[in-house]
Amino acid sequence: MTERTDVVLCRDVHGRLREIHLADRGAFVTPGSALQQRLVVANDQRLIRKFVSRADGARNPHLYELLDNEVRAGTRLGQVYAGLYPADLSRLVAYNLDAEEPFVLLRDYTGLPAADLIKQFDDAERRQFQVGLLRALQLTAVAGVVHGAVSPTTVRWADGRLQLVDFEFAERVGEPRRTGGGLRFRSPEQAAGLGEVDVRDDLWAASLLIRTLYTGAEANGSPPDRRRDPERLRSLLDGIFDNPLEQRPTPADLLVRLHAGQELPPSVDPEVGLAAGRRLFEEINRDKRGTVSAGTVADGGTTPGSGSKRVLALMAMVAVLAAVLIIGMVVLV
Amino acid sequence: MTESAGRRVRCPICADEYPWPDDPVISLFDEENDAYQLVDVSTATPEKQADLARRGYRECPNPSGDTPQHYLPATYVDYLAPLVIGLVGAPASGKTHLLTAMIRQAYMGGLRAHRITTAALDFRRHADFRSRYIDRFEKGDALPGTETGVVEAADILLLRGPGGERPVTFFDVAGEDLQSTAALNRSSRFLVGANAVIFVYAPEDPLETKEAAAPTENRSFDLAVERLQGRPAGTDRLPVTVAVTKSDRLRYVAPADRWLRRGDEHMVDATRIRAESRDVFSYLHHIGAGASLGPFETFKRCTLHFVSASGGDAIPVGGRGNLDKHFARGVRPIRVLEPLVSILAMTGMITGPEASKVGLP
Repeated sequence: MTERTDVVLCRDVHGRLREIHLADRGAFVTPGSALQQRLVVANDQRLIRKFVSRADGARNPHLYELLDNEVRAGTRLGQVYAGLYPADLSRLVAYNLDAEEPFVLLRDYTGLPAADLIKQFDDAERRQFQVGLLRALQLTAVAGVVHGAVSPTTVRWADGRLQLVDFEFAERVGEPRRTGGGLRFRSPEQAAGLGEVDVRDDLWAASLLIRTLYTGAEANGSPPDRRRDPERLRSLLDGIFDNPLEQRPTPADLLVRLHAGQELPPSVDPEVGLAAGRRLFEEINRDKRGTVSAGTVADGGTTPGSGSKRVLALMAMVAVLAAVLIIGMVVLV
Repeated sequence: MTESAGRRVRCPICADEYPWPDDPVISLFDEENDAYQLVDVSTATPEKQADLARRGYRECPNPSGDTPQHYLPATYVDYLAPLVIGLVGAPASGKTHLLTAMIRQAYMGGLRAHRITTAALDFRRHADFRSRYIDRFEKGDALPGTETGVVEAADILLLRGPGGERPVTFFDVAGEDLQSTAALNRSSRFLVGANAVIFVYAPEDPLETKEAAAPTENRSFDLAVERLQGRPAGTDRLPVTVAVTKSDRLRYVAPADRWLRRGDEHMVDATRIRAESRDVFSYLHHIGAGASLGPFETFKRCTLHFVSASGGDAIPVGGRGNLDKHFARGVRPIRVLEPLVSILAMTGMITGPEASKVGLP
């Protein structure tokens, strides 16, 4: 039997149009995603196709925003880690948000959702998990991305390696915070949707997850009662739950506390290629300057009102001159 | 026909200049007979005269005798000097989509933040523009390219704002006509009378164009720039803007993503407009589209903007192979008014200290 393939047009992380042949391999489900998903194959590579069906989109237009968040975060991460993409993060391959049923294609995830696994972790795995989680957040922080919904359902685990997936509530650092994304794990600022997105935003949820790892305590939306936490856990998470955001540590700080290595793959500033154009823009402007003044307009005229302003200025000058002459004559007389 | 000695007008359609007549005979369009009828309004009350004039036309005498019969709204000269805005760009660069989205947005009150209201000056022309473009656009249909040989203005609006009341005429002719080197091509003659130009550039997909790199020339830009440079006023006084259309293709690519996310602006900020202009310039320079930066280098007062008329790519209706395209998720124009706002600021329709600095180097 011949396998049925769909030919889809989509864009890669740099916005370039691509044509991809997809063969469907059946439904795919992750507990951290609100979107429909299918497992597909393209060029012998297993991909996850997240999409919004027409019916779902009509019922819940918010799903389009979730897909947009996923694509926006995925493209940014793909651009920043263009050379060597870290396996710690889900990887966007392509997207098409203009199709009848907009979709994103992601490399197949590694492992399984951590929610079911962390209860059986031994000490070595716990350490690997927390280091892996903080490293994933350091990677997103470098790219200026905040996941927005770190929880046992959006973290996957296999053979000592962690992968952060489902960026459906992702935001960009420096932008106004949005609400949503699983209130139990969100920091007070995130839950309130106040202020600007900060690289430390995800650390609240990550710390709750690390705490669950060691104490079994589930997040409930309130700052945790840490009085009975093991000393090592308390010192690791020190300053996160009881400090204002600006005084909280970063993922990198916590990795230092864990004496964990911080080697990251090389990152690229997606705007580095614009520097030459920016310099040229300024050079051309320098050449133009001095020959034009504010208020210059087309059609051989002037800004409405500027003509009368000139007349008024002229009249004022004449009046001043006349006044000086009169005063001078009076003084002489 | 008597003539008013003080009021000379340049017809935006034939580019001839002539004294505007002030006799009481105007042309009213008879829809039933599809023809203009001359009507003497001198016996009507002043109120009726004003109303008839608002709906009436005057035939352009076209002293050069080089253009088919054409008419201007009878009130064309009753306001501040008319503004004539031409759109220049290659075929399929998105001029018609941009103009349609722009006029639609202006009608929806998009300029209200700048205290500008929009109305039709030429009712018939606007009704035609609406039925041919805006209605189809709103239904999600991709618009066909402009036919070659068009010499008429696309729409004539009346903008009222702090800078006064001013007719604004838009020209959108076929990209093929703008690329034509034929000296007798009449379609691009609007350049003679244009007092503002929107240069339209679209980043193309190599997969569609089968070209690996951006074109090394932008013929429609080059020809227009040369012709505009040759005008007596030269390049010092003509405000221009470069609109990068189809920017939705760049919605996740820096620096366009940053600007598209902002949506429509609600105030004029010369520093912000300069920052966007610098980003657009550097992006075009980076992708090797330097040939499309000629307007910025040539004209003293110029802004550059990322825009998306539809918010997304059109896809074939009913699947691949169909030439008719539509916007599957409807149209969501992004920042389409920014080029117009810059033009209005540079021509004094939007006033204030910030507006006076827009586009300056």
